[in-house]
Amino acid sequence: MSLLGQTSITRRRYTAGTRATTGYWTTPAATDTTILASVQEASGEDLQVLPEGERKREAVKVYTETAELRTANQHAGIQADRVVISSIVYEVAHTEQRHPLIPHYKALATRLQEGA
Amino acid sequence: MTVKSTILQGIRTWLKATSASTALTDYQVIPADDKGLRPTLPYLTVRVGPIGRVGEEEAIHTENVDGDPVVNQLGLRRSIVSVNGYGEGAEEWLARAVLHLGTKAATDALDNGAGIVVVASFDPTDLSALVDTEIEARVQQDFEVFFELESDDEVFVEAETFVVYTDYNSGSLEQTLTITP
Repeated sequence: MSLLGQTSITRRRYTAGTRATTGYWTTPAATDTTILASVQEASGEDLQVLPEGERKREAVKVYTETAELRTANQHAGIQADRVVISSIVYEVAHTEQRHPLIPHYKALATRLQEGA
Repeated sequence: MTVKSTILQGIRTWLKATSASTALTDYQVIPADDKGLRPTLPYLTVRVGPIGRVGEEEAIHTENVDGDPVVNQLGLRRSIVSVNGYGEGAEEWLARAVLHLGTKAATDALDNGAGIVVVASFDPTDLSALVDTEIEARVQQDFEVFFELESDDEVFVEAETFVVYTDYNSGSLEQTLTITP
């Protein structure tokens, strides 16, 4: 069974990052993978799960059947996944896993500023 | 390396060396303008403010390796460096670093390493605030940083003759004076 309105999007996943001796974050290598997902606009209610500062940013809900999306892992130094949808880059800010009736993953991704 | 990045790294070196009995890491003292993942708490951020002018510049006349006369401008400059400490324990780190400002470790990092003098002119401020659902401990302290800026050498031509015009009631006089080295 597939999710309604599935389309191909790009998942950009990062390895663990490091800090240079200057203290600056070194952006780690990213691997782009094409995944199938159902992308929907996020409602105001959806945005309530996000931290206060991120609620005003444009966001989408991303449903996937098998491809899991992940948020940042601060302790492990791993950046959140990014998804590229119609050339616009979003960063995964919140995830929910495995709905009891139809197994799937749900993620909330916020749009990055240009040049990010 | 720019002047501001030299100051930034000098301050980081001082904070890493003196904030705790065991030196802090590059992950615990970071530039405030870093765009990467935030480190795990506690950690310190360092921001170097704009560079201001203190007093007048001084012209220094010397000779270069070819024996030509050179002049350069020397000016005293001041900047405010803002250090923020996030998380429980960061306030103690900052207090300890200030306590150690006169020690050899601090002098090596600041005076000798970055060519700057740091003065703890201001008291720390508690900026702890609600972040989402938790209170995040945060303390901020500004420091005055003084340093010298020096222009590039500029070769100049030494005057060898002067022409002096003198006017008086019944006429004028023109004299050429030659300088003998």
